[in-house]
Amino acid sequence: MAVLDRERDVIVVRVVYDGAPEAGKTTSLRALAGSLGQTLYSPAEEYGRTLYFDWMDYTAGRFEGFQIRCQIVSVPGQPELAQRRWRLIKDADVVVSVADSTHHRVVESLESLRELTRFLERTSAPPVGVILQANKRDLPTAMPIEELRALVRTGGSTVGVVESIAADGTGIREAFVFAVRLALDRVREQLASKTLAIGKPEIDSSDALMDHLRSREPPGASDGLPMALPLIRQVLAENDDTVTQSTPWNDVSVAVTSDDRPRSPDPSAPSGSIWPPVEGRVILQEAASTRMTTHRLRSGGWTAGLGHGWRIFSSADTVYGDVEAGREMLVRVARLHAACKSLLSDNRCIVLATTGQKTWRLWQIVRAERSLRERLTDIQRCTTPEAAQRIVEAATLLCEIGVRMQSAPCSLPCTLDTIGCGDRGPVYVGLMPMEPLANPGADLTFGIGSQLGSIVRDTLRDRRLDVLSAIARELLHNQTPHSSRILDEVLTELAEEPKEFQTSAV
Amino acid sequence: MASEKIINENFERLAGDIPGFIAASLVDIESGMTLGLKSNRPDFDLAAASAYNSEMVKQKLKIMRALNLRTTFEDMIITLGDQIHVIKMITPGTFVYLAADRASCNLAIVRNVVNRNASVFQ
Repeated sequence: MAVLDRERDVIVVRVVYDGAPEAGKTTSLRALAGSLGQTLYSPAEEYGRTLYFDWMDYTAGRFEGFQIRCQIVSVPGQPELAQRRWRLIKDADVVVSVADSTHHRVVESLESLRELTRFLERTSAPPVGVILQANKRDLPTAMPIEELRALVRTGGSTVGVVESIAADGTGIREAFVFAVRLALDRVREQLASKTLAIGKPEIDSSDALMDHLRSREPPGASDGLPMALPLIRQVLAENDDTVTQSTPWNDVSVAVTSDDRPRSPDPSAPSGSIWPPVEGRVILQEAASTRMTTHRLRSGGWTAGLGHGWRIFSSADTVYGDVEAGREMLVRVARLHAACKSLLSDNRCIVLATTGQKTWRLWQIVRAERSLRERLTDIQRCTTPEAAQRIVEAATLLCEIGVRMQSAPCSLPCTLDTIGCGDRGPVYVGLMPMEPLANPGADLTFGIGSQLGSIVRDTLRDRRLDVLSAIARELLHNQTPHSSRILDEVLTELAEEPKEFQTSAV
Repeated sequence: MASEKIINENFERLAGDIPGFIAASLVDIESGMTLGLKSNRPDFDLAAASAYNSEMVKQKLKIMRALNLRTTFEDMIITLGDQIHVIKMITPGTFVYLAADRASCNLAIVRNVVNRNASVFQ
């Protein structure tokens, strides 16, 4: 709903506080009101519960020469008032989802977050940023923050996490300012695409919002009465994916002096230096949630935040003495990402960050997803038919993405290390090259047979004959469009093996 | 980034160390919003001052880019008839803005105290 009101020289944005019942939305807004020196208006409450919304108007800050006016609104948390909740969220430029982070209430909060992100996915572009404000961190039953972040990640949404204790105001202002930054990222996108509304905001006060909500409710619905069943109660499938494992860097880091060490990317990076604009800042905020130290890799590149579930990487040659040159590269790499989006795993961003040494460095940040090779790490514990089935599955996924890659505008190397399996099937989980590969349209599934062969040789050495026989059987019995190719490649690989081995396997 | 409580505690310390302290805030450059603040003068509109100074910082960064100055922006010192204003960059996205009464303090002390406490704001 962001509106540019030229007459009053303000940009109006709506910051909505959402969350499960009694997670601390109103308490957060009360703490924020205290911190900002504003008054919170709650038009209707019953036994301390919000029935419509809480409202606060706050004008501060500057953006593109205009004042920023924030309409800060919280939604009612009760499930029977969900219609009101969705009507308020519909106009949000950013949503702060307040979560009760104690062990026994966190599931409910994450369910609320999941409903929210599904709802927002259907709203129009540019995307609305979401922050999870993990509340009640002072309680002894509060879930460890890393565990909570892992649970948020399993939901598949890109959400920044900020810790808070609404009761004493800790983290409230930080979450709010971060939310405003995300809202402004969205406004910048709207300005660029000329979709930013200009004029007076349709809803300009708590009274106008109250009238707006009441006018859309069926006759008979009143403050004290439970409303009809929510219109937009999502049918949500449980997503029970296991928590993704962090993948430590394979390259060995080398010692450096602190003078050489570039500063790691920072979530307060200015707009225009993060891609994608809104989601990217959320990703960066999460990736940088623990203080990161940069490490130089043997390749000359730099990495940061090892072991935190993210791959944060900058190659040796993506350092720029001139910010404009860095930005030019950022745009090029962003275009490459956009062209390959359907092939890439989610949760990636690119950041141009100052090194603290009068230069700028381009960082690539990718959530560490399990690669096909990592999915095969425990294969030695499988029975022979199971091991064969998993190897064939991995090979089939490689073939599938190889075929998709041939018709895509970009080409990426398809190996057991760079490909993983997401909800959308096989996806590229590796780091993106900074330049498009020279040969788009080519088959880049590098030696399926040799990749599989090495697993069979190294991991299943003691029963490799049995496994190879089982692979052949699996391919012959469960024909897929790629079976004959996999079989060919495996057999070719076998040709390198001793003669008695080939005969037994075939 | 430091929590609002730590930011405000640090400003309390700054206020104690700088004679003639008027007001200070930690400002988000992008939005001009304050992440923490301390004011000894109710008539000093710190929110507005922070917002407008964020625009000045953005302009200065733009100027540096235009001039192709390959260096870092550390701080800005503005001397008014009766006040000293200091802007100290904390991270690429935040800065401390501090105003002090010129008759009660001197520039060196203000700058030194701000620099000494800057890391606490990170």
